[in-house]
Parts: sequence; C-alpha cells; structure tokens
Amino acid sequence: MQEQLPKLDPSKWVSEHGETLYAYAMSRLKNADAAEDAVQEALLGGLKNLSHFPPESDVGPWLMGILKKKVVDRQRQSARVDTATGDVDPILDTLFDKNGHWSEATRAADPLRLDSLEQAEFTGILKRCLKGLPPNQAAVFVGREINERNPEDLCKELGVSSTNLWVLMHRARLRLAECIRARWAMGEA
Amino acid sequence: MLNCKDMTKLISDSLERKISVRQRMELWLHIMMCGMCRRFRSNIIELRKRVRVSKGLLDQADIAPASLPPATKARLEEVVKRQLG
Repeated sequence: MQEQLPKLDPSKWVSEHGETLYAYAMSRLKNADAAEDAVQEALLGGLKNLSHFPPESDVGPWLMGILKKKVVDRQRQSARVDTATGDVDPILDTLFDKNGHWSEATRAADPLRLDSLEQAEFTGILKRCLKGLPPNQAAVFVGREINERNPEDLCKELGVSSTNLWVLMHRARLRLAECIRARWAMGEA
Repeated sequence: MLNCKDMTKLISDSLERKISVRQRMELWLHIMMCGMCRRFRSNIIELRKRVRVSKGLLDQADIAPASLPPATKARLEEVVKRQLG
C-alpha cells in the first residue's frame, strides 16, 4: 500500500463522502444502478490516483471532481448509444402505428388533460415518471425543463448535437405524457 | 405532409427553437384537424409550465439529495476494502 497523508484515509471515504457523492450522481443520472457504478468508478479512480492528491486540498471536493468526470462520461456514452440506435425507441412503436399515425390503442385510451390535474397530484406522478425515463432522456429533460439550462451548454456537457438534443426531448415528452396519462387513468394520484 | 409521429417532433421542436414559417403553417393546419396532436401540444406546453412550478418540490424530494441505500453503501465499502487489500 502506498504511503498516505493522515487525512487521506480511503477506508473512511464511503462513510464520510458516500452520501454526498451518491446524491450528486443520482441528481445527474436519475438511476440507482448508474449512480452506484459512477460512485464506484470515482472511488476506484481516487484510489488509483492517491499519489496525485494535491496535499493542500480536501478529500471530499477532490473525489467530487473525479465523480463529475465519471458522470459526464456516462451521460455522453448513453447519449451516443441512443444516437447510434436511431429511430428504435420503443415508445414510438407504442404510441404510433407503422404509418406514423397515433395507434388504435392510444386513440382509444382515456385522454389526459394536464390542465385538469392538480399541482400536488401532478408533482407526485411526475416524480415517478421521471424515474422511468431512459437516463439520457432524463438528463436532457431535467437539464432543459427543471434546471432551465441553455441548450448550448447542455449539448456541450452531454456531448450531443442540438439535433440529438431535440430528438431526446421529443422522446422524453412523449414518454412523460404517456406515463402521466397512464398513472392518472389508474387513479394513482 | 407530415404524419402524426413527425408532427409531434415538430411540435416538440417548436418549444426548443424557431421553426420556419412554412413549418409553422403546416403545424397549425395539422392541429386544426387532428385532436390527438392538438392535445399533445397543449399537454407538453402545460408540462413545461407545471414542471417549473414543481421545481422546488422536486429539488427537495427527488432531484437532489437521494440518500445512499445501506446495501449500496455496504457494497461500496467492500469495493474499497478489497482494493486496499
């Protein structure tokens, strides 16, 4: 084992910084498995780079810096995967028929009038529906609609073109509208 | 003529960027005749408004501090321990 500064005790990293790191990863990735993986990668990255730890700094922010890079890598990766797969998001086949018209089932379903939903109900349902979004769609939707980021910054951070940003927003909106409708129709609010 | 799938994309885009005059005309013509697309449009505009109103609530409960589940914590502890040998 490498020689360590006393304050750099990796056996305490999880107990002292785990909460903060995990909360950050979850806020960005919206998925428990992905967040756990990212935190794990950050911890391992930290262990590998113990010798590069700047002696005057604190462990928390240093680990957070490593985690942020891991999170961005993941977001870029999932955004790229989506681009590569093109038009195959299953939500499109659920809502539309092969001619691109609203499918029979979609037209027969109880329509949702979002404006008739009370805000408290809405927030409860929205939370659950956000968790069901694919991570790249969630990252884009949360970035644009909740954090109100400007599109240029968001594209840079996620490593996607503006065209792909719009594709992901479209799918996220279709999914959320359908999820909210379905949960509302089940009387879940 | 765009089908409904492409129309929902154009409707979504119109909330993100300026669409051309021609596209805007096609959009309006389409939603005048198509109730499903009209509803989609009003729902995603409402969604944008509602999400911004919900922001505070989401920030506290969901978007920011997700707490570390004990099982995850234990697994991460184990990973670090193994590396330290």
